[in-house]
Amino acid sequence: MAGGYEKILVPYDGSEASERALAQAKVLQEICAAQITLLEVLPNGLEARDQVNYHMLDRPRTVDPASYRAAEANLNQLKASFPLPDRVQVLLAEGPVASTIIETIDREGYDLVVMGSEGLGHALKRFLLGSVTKYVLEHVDIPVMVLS
Amino acid sequence: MMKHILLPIDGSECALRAVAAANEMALAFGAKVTLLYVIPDPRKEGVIQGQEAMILSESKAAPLARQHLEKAQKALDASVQTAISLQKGVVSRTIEKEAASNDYDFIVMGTEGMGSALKRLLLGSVTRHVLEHVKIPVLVIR
Repeated sequence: MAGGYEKILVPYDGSEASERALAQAKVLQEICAAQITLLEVLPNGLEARDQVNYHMLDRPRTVDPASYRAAEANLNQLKASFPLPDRVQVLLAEGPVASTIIETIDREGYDLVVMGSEGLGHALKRFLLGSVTKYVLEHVDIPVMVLS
Repeated sequence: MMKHILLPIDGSECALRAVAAANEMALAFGAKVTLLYVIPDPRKEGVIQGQEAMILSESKAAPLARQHLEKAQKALDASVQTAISLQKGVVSRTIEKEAASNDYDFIVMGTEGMGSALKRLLLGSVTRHVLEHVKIPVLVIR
């Protein structure tokens, strides 16, 4: 890690905090030319079983193709806004958000995670650490940069 | 932009790893590092049973704190500009106040300090407090 991080995971969900994480990741890429993975996990109905997201209980069990395509197009746009777009990989997954992030980290081997302190699910902003961020902090061995 | 790092330490192994990470970031960004050690104030800290032994008398706490600060300072590269701050109070709130007071760009700290028995599974209470109360980025080191 010669003066920086080489492979960075940025979980993204469209929340304000995740936008700030994105901005931070751009700064880091500028400094250390890091390889970035932009990961968006589309929660499906199964989410409700392992994390208590009651607002999602009535959602269908699969993500509809239209929102999948919209998310993909958005990620590709975000990719283009990085200082080194060629070193940005876009990853779109479907499932329980927190554990999918952990699985991705275990599978791909990153040396840093940059993420927001809370996602879209939060009513009590500012005082709560989001459940996904908390889960990630408790389950990874690598450094996590948290943006509020 | 990323020019001043706040590095709260407490003598735990986790904090030492945070020192190493802060060193990398300081070198990458050409940032200054302020090392902060907070001596817990037992009258305010709300000591839970079984933790009494961790609270040292005042005469012992300050020299130990200085040792930890010097050790951490030595672990940073000689080219990194450093400052040292030794404060007393409720650890979590003192870090929060310091973070808000001195135009820091980000914090580097460990996931848990001396107090965690259930290492690896718990996010330390101090780290959690900081994550929930500061507005600047926090780089959390396991």
